[in-house]
Amino acid sequence: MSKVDLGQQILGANLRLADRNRARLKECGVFALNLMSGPGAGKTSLLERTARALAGQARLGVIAGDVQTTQDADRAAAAGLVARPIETRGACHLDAKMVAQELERLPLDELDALIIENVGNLVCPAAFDLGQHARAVMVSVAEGDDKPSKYPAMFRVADVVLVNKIDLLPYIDCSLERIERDARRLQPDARVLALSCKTGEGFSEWTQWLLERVQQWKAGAP
Amino acid sequence: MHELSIARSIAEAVEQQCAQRPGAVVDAVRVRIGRLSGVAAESLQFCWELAVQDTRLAGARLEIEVTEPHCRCRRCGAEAAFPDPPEQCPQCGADEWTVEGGADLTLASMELREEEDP
Repeated sequence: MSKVDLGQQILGANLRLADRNRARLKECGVFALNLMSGPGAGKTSLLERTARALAGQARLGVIAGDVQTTQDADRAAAAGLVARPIETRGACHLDAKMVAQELERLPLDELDALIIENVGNLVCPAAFDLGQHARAVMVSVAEGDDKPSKYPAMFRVADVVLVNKIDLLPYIDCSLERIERDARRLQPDARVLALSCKTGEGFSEWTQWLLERVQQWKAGAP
Repeated sequence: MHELSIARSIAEAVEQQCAQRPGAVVDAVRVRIGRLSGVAAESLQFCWELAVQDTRLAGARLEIEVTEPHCRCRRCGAEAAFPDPPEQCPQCGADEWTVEGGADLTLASMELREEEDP
């Protein structure tokens, strides 16, 4: 009987593909954001409004993951974005291999940034590196203010936390302070931005964050 | 939710390690799974049986060590229990905690024996 030490990442195969995606994106000068949330938090609405807000300022592409249907990619395309769907047919998250296939189908040389809309799920997508340069985690106030504490694995990987649907705050019991406190505890470096994709309140802080990150990254920041 | 694909990833990695050892039998595979990794240990244990049936790993035990996160005071570094640290740090009185650890998804080691061994 002998013991063999391995000490390797279980998702090492995915990590290697993710690193390859990152290198490919770097080669083409495209900043990639992995956008994650539970179902219905407003990821696609964010894409639509961002498309309008940044028209003429940044060339955005989208990979939109869905368990079934291509509706999200269709909506992003209707908003004027270069969009590719990934229909996972049951899989609960996107992985680096799925994204690699779509990178080959996108005109990367014509883009400044790529937003990868993950499958609506606050658990599994957190574990899978796609080759992104930053992660955005979205939660809507309608889901309640307990989401960061209930889904710590997701919020701890966030570079920016987007709290959507704040136009609903007068009608529900939800503490923005609690969301912000719990999210910061899990990831002290994350920006927490409250906004409404419907009314546009707080939206310019988000687009400014995105533009700054793209510029910093293009200037050589990690 | 994706424990079966995690179980398959573990099995694939172990099979790759064993590719150069045709006579070896794997008795046990040890993994470290963080409480915050998004992978449930019980579910992974169940999926392991499915992932290795009818492969050369059939019968190999999966030994899961669950690693726990903890809270740390941002000012003085004191440690407190996850997920509910005291309102104020008992050492310095600060009220800003961060969460560390518990994110492992690591294939730690495996136990091998030669086929003719008892």
